[in-house]
Amino acid sequence: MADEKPIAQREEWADVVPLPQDDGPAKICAIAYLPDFEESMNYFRAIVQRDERSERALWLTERVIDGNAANYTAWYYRAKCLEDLGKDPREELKFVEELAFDNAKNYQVWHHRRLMVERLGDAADGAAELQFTTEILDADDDSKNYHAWAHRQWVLKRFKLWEGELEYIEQLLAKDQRNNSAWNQRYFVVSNTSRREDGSFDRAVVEREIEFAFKYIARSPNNQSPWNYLRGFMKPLTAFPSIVERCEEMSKKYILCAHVFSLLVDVYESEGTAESLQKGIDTCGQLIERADIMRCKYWAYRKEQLEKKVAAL
Amino acid sequence: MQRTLFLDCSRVSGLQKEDGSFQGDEWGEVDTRFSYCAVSCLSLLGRLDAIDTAKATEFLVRCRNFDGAFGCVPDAESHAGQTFCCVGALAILNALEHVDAPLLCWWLAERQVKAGGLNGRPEKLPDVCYSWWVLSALRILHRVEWIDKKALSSFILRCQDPDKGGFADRPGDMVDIFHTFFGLAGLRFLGDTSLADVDPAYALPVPTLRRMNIALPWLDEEARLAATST
Repeated sequence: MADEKPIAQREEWADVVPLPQDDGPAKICAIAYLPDFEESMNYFRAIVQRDERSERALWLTERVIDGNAANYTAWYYRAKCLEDLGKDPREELKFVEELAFDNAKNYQVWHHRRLMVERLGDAADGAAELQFTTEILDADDDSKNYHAWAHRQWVLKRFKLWEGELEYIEQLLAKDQRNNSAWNQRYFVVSNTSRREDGSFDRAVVEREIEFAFKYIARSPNNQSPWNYLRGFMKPLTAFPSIVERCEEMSKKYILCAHVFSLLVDVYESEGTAESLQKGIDTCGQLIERADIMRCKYWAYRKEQLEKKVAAL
Repeated sequence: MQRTLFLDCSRVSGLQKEDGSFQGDEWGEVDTRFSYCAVSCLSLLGRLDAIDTAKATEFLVRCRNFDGAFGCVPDAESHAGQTFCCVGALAILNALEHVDAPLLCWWLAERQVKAGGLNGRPEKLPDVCYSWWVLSALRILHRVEWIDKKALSSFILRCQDPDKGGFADRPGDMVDIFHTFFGLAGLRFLGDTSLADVDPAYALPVPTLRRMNIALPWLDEEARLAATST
């Protein structure tokens, strides 16, 4: 990246007077900047002040970003220079790509990438963007990178690259079925491709998705993600008696699995009959005593609500 | 000696977009974090009138997922940090009716893992900073009791470096100011009254906010609930 020679020693910068940081009269918690960082920033302030958008300004933004990849002022200034200098966004995408792997959780890197893709307009390569996020998610155990997923969602919508996404998600779940981001992504894809005019889902879609969730629940009942996922589709809760049966069976075997009992409480409450409400109350008891002791106060609240409903019948 | 602070509110209101969302700056990044920042700072200046609060609310509601929690933009994964931003902003906007409190607070309570700490999303590791993001949202919605307070307290204290004094994201890691603030605020919310009270929506000391006459209806409601339960 940026080489070692101080800017003050470079002939091409001789005409610029560096502008030091104005911390005001009372320096509280003054940061111990390293000399080359401070120098880069002093020259950057000078360039920004005169709004110079030249090749050397562009070079300087890279140096500043190298010192602090989260400097959004430098990123924005860089974007302005790139535009004024007529630089090819595709070249910039390569620059960003190199930085991204070392700074995968940095907001600015991702936003800058998006800006470059937007600048390419119709010439943008959506598939390449998707591939980029795939590589980020694959790197270093980073399959839950929130920025990568947000970028991926944006790419999918913008370029309508829905095909193949469900398969990709399944691959990720095969590697780690506890990847909540992948579960969220599935909901995102199904939501965007399989809703009816009125926003609802076909019964066939609902059943397919519930079965999908149960496939993973069967493998690992304590995995919270598929249980959460179920809730996106089990509407209303009372419309799925076979699911309730399965959960009741599971509750006999997985007596410490809070998720099983939790779903049952919600179903029983929705059913609202005297018998169901009583089952709900008993299930809350099991959660309080055994299955979810940590959240016993929550279950005590739910139990109380159910008791009120019984009294009101 | 009084100094008058003048802020050109159009700097902030100018960052609100058609759909009610907020950019962070002229660069254009949109995120519910920026909705929170805009709403918070304008509210402190008594200038919420400078933005379209109805549209701001509308955008936040679009970021609400089926589990009741919130993401950074519509459809984004529910995340405790983003959830704090949305709940805090909705509280300041007086629009908490858009939060399904029991549903969301259940999701928030589920952030607590066996070790006692809180995570930010299902199946992720606990981190002290979530003691703020999760707990402040729970406090605004009056349901801090839904988590195991003792277990969380122990977790936070285990994150303190006995030599340096500060707090880290998890036990044994390097300390920093960020996690120290969140750890301390979390301990306060869990009942350590040796610490000054921090407002869960503004993340500022309560006495300061009261002195500025900033309305804190969630704290007033908290006091009312405490009074009626005794």
